Formats: sequence, C-alpha cells, structure tokens
Amino acid sequence: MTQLSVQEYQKQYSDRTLADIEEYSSVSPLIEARDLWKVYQTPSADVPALKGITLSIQPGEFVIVVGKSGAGKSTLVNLITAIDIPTRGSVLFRSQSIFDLPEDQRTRWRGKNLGIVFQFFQLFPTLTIWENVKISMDLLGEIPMSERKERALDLLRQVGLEQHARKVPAKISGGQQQRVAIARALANDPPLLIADEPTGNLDSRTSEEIMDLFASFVARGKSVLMVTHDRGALKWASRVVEILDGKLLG
Amino acid sequence: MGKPGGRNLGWEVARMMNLDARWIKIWRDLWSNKTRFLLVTLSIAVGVGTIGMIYNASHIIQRDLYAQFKRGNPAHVFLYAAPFPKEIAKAAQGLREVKQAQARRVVRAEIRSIKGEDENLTLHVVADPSAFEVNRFFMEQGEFPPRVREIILERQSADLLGYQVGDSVLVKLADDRQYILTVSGIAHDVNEIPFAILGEASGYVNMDTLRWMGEIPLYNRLEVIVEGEKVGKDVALEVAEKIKKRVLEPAGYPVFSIRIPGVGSDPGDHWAHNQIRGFILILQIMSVMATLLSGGLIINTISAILIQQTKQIGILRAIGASRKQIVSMYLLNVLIFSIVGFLLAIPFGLIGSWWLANFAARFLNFDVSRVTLTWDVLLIQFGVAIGMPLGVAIFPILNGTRISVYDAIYQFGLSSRKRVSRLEKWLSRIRSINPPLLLSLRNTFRQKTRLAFTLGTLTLAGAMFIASFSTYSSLTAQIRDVERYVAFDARISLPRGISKVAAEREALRIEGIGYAEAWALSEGVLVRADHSESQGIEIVGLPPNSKTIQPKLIAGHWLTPLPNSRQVVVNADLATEEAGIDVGKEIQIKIGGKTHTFTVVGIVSKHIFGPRVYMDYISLTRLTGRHNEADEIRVLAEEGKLGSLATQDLVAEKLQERFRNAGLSKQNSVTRASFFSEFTEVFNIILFVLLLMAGLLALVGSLGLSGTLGINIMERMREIGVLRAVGAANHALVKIVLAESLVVSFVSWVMGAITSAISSPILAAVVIYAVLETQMNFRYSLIGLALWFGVILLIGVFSSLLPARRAAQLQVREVLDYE
Repeated sequence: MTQLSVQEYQKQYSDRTLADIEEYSSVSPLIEARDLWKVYQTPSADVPALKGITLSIQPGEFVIVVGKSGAGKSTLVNLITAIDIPTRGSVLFRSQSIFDLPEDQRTRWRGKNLGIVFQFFQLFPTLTIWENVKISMDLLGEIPMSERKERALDLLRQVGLEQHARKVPAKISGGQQQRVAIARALANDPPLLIADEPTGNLDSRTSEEIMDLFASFVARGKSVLMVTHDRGALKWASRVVEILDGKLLG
Repeated sequence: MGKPGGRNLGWEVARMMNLDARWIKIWRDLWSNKTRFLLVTLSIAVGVGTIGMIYNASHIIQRDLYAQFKRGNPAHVFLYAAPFPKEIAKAAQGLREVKQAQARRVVRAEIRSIKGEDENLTLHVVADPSAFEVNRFFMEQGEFPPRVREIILERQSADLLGYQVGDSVLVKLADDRQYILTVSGIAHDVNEIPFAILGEASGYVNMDTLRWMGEIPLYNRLEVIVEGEKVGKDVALEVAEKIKKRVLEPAGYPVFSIRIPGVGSDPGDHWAHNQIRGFILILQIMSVMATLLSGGLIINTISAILIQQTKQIGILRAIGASRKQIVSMYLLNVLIFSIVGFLLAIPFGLIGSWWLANFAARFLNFDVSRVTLTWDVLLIQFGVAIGMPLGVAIFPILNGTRISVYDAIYQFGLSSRKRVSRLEKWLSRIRSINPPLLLSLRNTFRQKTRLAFTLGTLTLAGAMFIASFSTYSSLTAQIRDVERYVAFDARISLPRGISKVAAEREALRIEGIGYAEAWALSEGVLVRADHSESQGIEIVGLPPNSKTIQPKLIAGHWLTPLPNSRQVVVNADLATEEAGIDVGKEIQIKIGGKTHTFTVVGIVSKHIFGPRVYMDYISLTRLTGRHNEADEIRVLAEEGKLGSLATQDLVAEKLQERFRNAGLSKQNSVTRASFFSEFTEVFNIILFVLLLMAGLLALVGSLGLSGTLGINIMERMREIGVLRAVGAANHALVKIVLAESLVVSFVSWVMGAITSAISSPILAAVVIYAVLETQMNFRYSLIGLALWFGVILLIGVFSSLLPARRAAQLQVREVLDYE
C-alpha cells in the first residue's frame, strides 16, 4: 500500500467522510521513521550518528531497539520524539510529517501523543510526586482541571506509589522515581510511550517491575518504543530491532 | 537550591491553593532559594523605595516648606537705604507696579548664648506691627509685638542658643554697647536663612527698644512685593529701580543696594529653592541609578535561574510545554519578585521620605505636617516596580527559552560554542601563558552579553567613584584658590573712624606678629551701559603690594602702586555675572551715591563668596571720604609665610585681646582656618553622599560579578569536571576563577577610568552648581583613580570567593550526572 498523508488522502478521495479518514489513519502505522539521517558537525569532521534508518511502529506493538553504546539508539529516540531535528529524512505520526509542524505545535503533539521516559528520570525536584505527574496534564490542558489530581493519584496507584504521592523525588528510590516518570508519561493518555534506557540506572529486580509496567501498557492497546543495551529486556518485546553504527540490522 | 524535601509555608500555600503544577513549581523554586529571593526583592525595593522616598519627600517639602513660606507673604525684592521713616513704604506702595511695601529695620548685633559664646544676631523691627504683612513670621509662644526691653527669638535661634521664654539675654551692638533683654516669645520665621546654616540668629524687638539701645528710630530696608502672578528677576529689579528713583532718592534717602532675597532664587521663591532643587536632582539621579542597577541585578538573577534550570526547561518542553508557557512561567517568577519588591518599597519609601523630609525640616527650619502616600508617587513606584523588572527580564527569558530541547537536555553543562572570537584566537597563540591562566582569560570573554553587563555595572561604579573624588578635588582646588585671597593668620574688623596707621602700629606692637596690613572696605554697585545697576558688590581698598593676598590672575595684571590711578582688578565672579567686563575696558561703579569710572587692569580667579573689586587703598578712601581709615586689619606672624593652625589661634587671640584693651575693636578675630572650616564641613558631607552612591554601585557591581562568575561555573560544569578528572587540585580551580574575576575587574577599571573622564566633569558641575550656585574649574582626581584600582582589586577577590568555593566543591560524579 502506498502511504498517503491524511491531506493527500482527503484530496484524492474528496467524497470520503471523517469516519473514513479515521479508519484510514487506524490502519496506517502509528509512527514511522523514513530514511532518517543525523550527522553531527564537529570542527574536525562530520560524524554521522544515524545513516538512513527506516522504522515503523504499529498500534499495540512493543518495539525494542537494541544496540551497543554509541550505536545511535538515543539519537533515534531524540529524532522520533522530535527533541532533535534530523539532517535528512522524516518522521510521520499517523501519516502526518512531524517536522512539517511549527515548533510549538510539535511540542503540543509530543505532549499529547508521546509519553517519554528518560534514563535519569528527570523529575522536577521541587514538586511532589503527584504534582510531577499532574504537570503534564496542566501543560496540555485537555483533561479537566477538576479531574487532574484524581487522575495523577490513579496513575500513581497503577505504578504502586500512591502512598508516596506527597513526597518529593529526593525522598524515594531510583526505581520509584522511574515509576513516577512512567506515570507522568502516561498522564495525557498517549498512544505511544518512548523510553530511552529506562532501566539503565536500576537493579535487575526493579528493571523487571518497570518492564512489567510497559507490558501492561501494551496490553491496553498502546505502543511502546524502547531503546536499551540490556539484552535481558528483549523477552518483553513484540519486535526487536538491532542498531549498529547508525544502521538497522536485517 | 534549598532542601526540596523540607516542608514550609511556601510549600503549604501552593499545595492548599491547588494551583496548576507549573505555578507551584515557580513558587517553590523561588521559595527554595531564599537568599536569592531576598537579594532580588530587596534590590527592587531599594530602587523603587528610593524613588518613593525622593518623590514623596519632595512632595512634602513643596507642600510644607513652600506653603509655610508662602503663608509668610515673601517679598520679591529688598531695597537697603539710608535710614528712612515708615511713610516711605506708603509712598512706594502708591506706585502702580507695587502690590505691597513694608519698612523694616535690620541691625547687626551679637547675642551671648547660654554657653557664654557670642553669636551674630540680626535684630528686626517691623514698622507697623498691626499691619505686618510682608515676610511675616508666626508666633509659637508669647505675644507679638514685643514690649520695650523684650525680644522675640526665632525658634531655631532660641533652640541653638539655649533660651526659653522668660530668660534674659545679653545683646551687644557694634560699638560694644550691651543690653539685657527678656525673651518674651518664640517665633517661627521661615523667611530667614536659619541659624544652623548661616550662623546668624534672628531676634525681633520694637522700635522703642531699639531707641533705648541708642539707635535712631528709622528703617533701612524696604520690602516690596511686585504686582503680578509670577514675577521675574528683571521685573523685580526694574520695579525696585523705579522705587529708588521715584521715591527714596528724591526724598533724600540714598539706596545702597537692591537685592532679591535668597541664594540666587527667583523673586517670591524660598531662599534655598534652587539648592533644594539641585539636591533633589542629585537624589533623583541616585534613584535612577539604583533602579538601573536593580534592573541589572534582575537580569543577572533571571539569567542564573534560567541557566540553572536549563535542563528542567528542556524536560518541560519534552513533556509538552510550549515556549509561550515557559516564558509565562518565568515572567510570573519575575512578577512575584516585582510584587514583593513593590510591597516592600512602599513602607521603605514612606519611612525614607519621612526621614528625608525631617532631615530637611531640621536644616531648613520648617514643620513636616504629615507623610502621605500620594497616588501619583504610588503609580510611578508601581510602574517602575512592575514594568522595569518585566521589561529587563524579558530579554534573558526569551533568550534562555530559545534553546532547543535537545541542547537543553543533553548539551547543558558544556560550553558548546563553535565560533571562536579573534581575541580568543589571539590569546591561544600566546605560548608563554600557562594553560589554567589561558583558560581564565578565555572564560572571561566567552559570554559577551553577560560580561558586558558586569563590566557595565563595575564601570559605572568606577566612573562614579572617580567622579566623586574629582568633584571633591575640584571643590578643594577651588578652596585652595580662595585661600590665596585669605592669606592671613588672623583678621579683625574695625569700627568706623579707626586710623589705619594706629591700627597697623598697634598690631605690630604685639609680640609674635611680624606683619600687619589694614584694608578699607566699601560696598557699591556696577552701573551698566543701560544705566541699570547690578546687585551689591564688595569693594576692597588694599595696598597694591599686599602680603595678605596672593591673587591668581587669569587675565591682565595686578594693581600697580600708582595712587589715584583709577585702576581696578575684578574677580571672575563679577566678570562672569556681568557682561562686557574685560581687561582694558572701563567700568562704572557707584560708591556712596556717586558714580566713578575705572579701568579694569586684571581679572583674578573665582572667590565663590561673591563679586569683588580690588583697588588701591588710597583711591578708595579718597572716594569714600574716609582718609586714613581702616575697616579691617590682617596680620601674619611672619611676613611672607602663613602660620600653622596653632600660630593662627595664638595670633588671633593676642590680636583680639590687644585691640579690645586698646579700645580699637570689640569684635572677635577670625583665623584663616576658621574661615574655611564651614566650607570643609559642607564639602565633606558632599563627598560622603557621593561616595555612598559609588559604594552602592560598587556593591551591586560586586554582586553582579560574583553572580556572573557563578553562572559561568554552572555553564562549564563538564569542563570543570574534566579538569578535576585530569588532576586539577582545589587551588588550581580557585586560581582559574580568581584570575577570571581579576581580569574582569581590571578591564572595568580601565573602562571606568575612560568613562570617568566624561562623568567626572558632569557630576562636579552638577554638584557644585547645586550646592554653591556657581561654576568652577574642574580637576580630575588621580588619587580617586588609584584608590578605585585598589577597591576594584578587592572586589575582584571577594566576588570570586563563593564561585571559587563552588568550583572547588564540584565532584567528577556530579559532572557525570550532567551527561
């Protein structure tokens, strides 16, 4: 099937209804990276980090990108989340090219559709645990104000941290902080969760717990893209992609 | 950052209000760094409070002082004339241009204070107490008019002399006639220059008392209010001229001088109107500077917060915060600073204005009725408190939030500039510099905007510091110039009729006096080409080869010993005041009612105590018909040499005693040092105020420098970590920070020196004009420049202490966290 953007689809099939368009969207990949290149310019030479990567993730898929340190895993995550700009190539989310959007719309898109989990948790130190979860909802503003606190507490309950809701991040362990980060990532109910080495700083037992959480997320029909160098995590994946020297293998 | 886990008011307030988490974040971030919060809000409060203080105080002064002054119905012009009857005032009032005229007698006398010291006193007699309408005073105790042998004292005079109603006071007239009067009342007279400033007390008696004291019962000052709303100097002088020509002179009462009351004031204005305006101007400049500096501090603080939170900004963007949302978060941050600063500024401004107005009230002798907060001042304060911080902070906020999400999260902590400036390239080529020092030098010039702010503040502080010293130096240089005209060890005034020869001979008989010289003094007016007359000028008759004056000629030559030659030398005060006076030109001077023509042969430097004309002693005494009479005797312990302070005191004491015993003079003698002591005191107050300003600027500059160094360290954490990893010890890191600080300090010193070349003459001119109502020659202070070098080095060292400590405390592990 030749991939068309929503606009192209609308243009070509002008007699189609909104429902048709939504159906069209649902059958296409959730997110798709096409021929992604990232070249870092240094004073001595241009260093390519990604060399034409193409990757798509379907709804309900748990994709793990595995590779050694320096292989380009984090760069791939940064480009798919639009945190960084590719040197060449595009990222399509439900067939919409992300980099065609103005920056502020791109930010809003990220807040609504992606839940990002970082290796170092990146929680706000002066906010309590539940406030750290709620801030994502406050920024997007789509969930009614009156429901946000309850939702934050509910998400914390799901990750097993309700009893710590009023603590600040410094008062809980690394594994607990990562679970808060996952709760925060789920705050706006995004269809895709992207995690960059989420277990890189955790012990094996805590890592298992985190992976369990991701699996439950996938079980609810959401997608997960995770990059890791930990091969022990691969058992959770519905698809594993290996990256080496900026290229996908196989 | 403070301890995030701690619970306090800030946390609870935010939690209870169930606010949007981003506002809670801003509130908690503010609360978690209380020192910074206090520093910024106080700096806003100081800037905005100073504005409130100055504007409110000037409101109070205008409302209370000027209103109390206007209530006294001030005269526009005074005519001093030969003793005349009170009917002259009625005749003057008959002129169409004259609204009111009132006769008054003023007599110079002395009064003995409760401590036994003789102080100058001006005795006033109002012609008709029942119709006392011009330059009125108001009774605070007792009744007006006083009865015979009673005196009403002005309240400040009574206070400083130590008298109360019912006390007896000793009053001495010029020929040492002494009278005991009873203090019958205390009056508040805002028209007179206060005792505290002029050193001359004011007392009010009736004409019968004056007659009893042996004075003729006539008046010598006509106080005139001219018709019209706003009367200019020219109009007032014109009307006075008309009164003189149509009323006083035809009636046979020669006019000695015409004077607008006050110190250079316009007719009807308070006597210190211009000086008050000048001081308010200086204070306003101060408030603008304080505001600008607090603006600078806000820029620095907001930059520091943004840099410190760069990563958090990146995370916020990553989880969906738009740039607009982040900008609004940090604007709210500034708004909180502003509102708290504003709330602190209101009481600070009110208390400050109360203090300033009371300080002025004690000095200028008026009452402060109340301190009020006016809407216009409040609005100005609000506008500055809210608008200025937001206005200046928007730049670092826009700049700080422009960073890409990727750079914010992954590149923070490492200086990632790709462009290397020419200066840095040049620095890197210098092989002889050791690498840590080279790093310091390169660090200094990395962030040009930040460097510009720090340099700007320190340069401003330096320029102000040097300008303050230059102003003081200019003032003291002027005093040294004036000293040339007061080149005696002691001086004593002589009553009329004392022979010059007798006075000089008597002085030379005193052991320890090696030289004596008598001067004749007179007063006159300059008659201009259009026949109008100047205000009174002092005329000095002295031996052309005088040893008690060392004239500094700025044009022409000094008097030549040719009696009756009609040569005069004028001072620069007169030459600047009156157009057309130059060497070789003829001028007309009216002395004792007769106009004489003189040739100007020289112009001497400024005297600051008013216009003066020098002529040969014999010429002047011939013109005044007082042959061989002297008005003052000036002595030196040793001819051609000025004595020490002790010598001056000794000579003065002997001179006074000898002349008193010989019945030549009952006056107190004056030493050269005492003549200048009042000037020196005023100048020291000015220097203190100016240095306070410079100190304030230096303090803010120092905080700015410290902040800049701190931000630079935060930005280069990874670099510092690498240095640590390759073995840089604490002292090596401290040296790098210290060197960076000293480089900035030194550059700011050079820039301050350059800027001071412009700022110093301006400040000196403004201050000197505001205080002395005159223009003076400027002198740049090299001592100030050298002192600032020392101060700036100290600032450099102290500013680097905290940042250096922070750098030394950084661990390699912390740096890894930044990766």
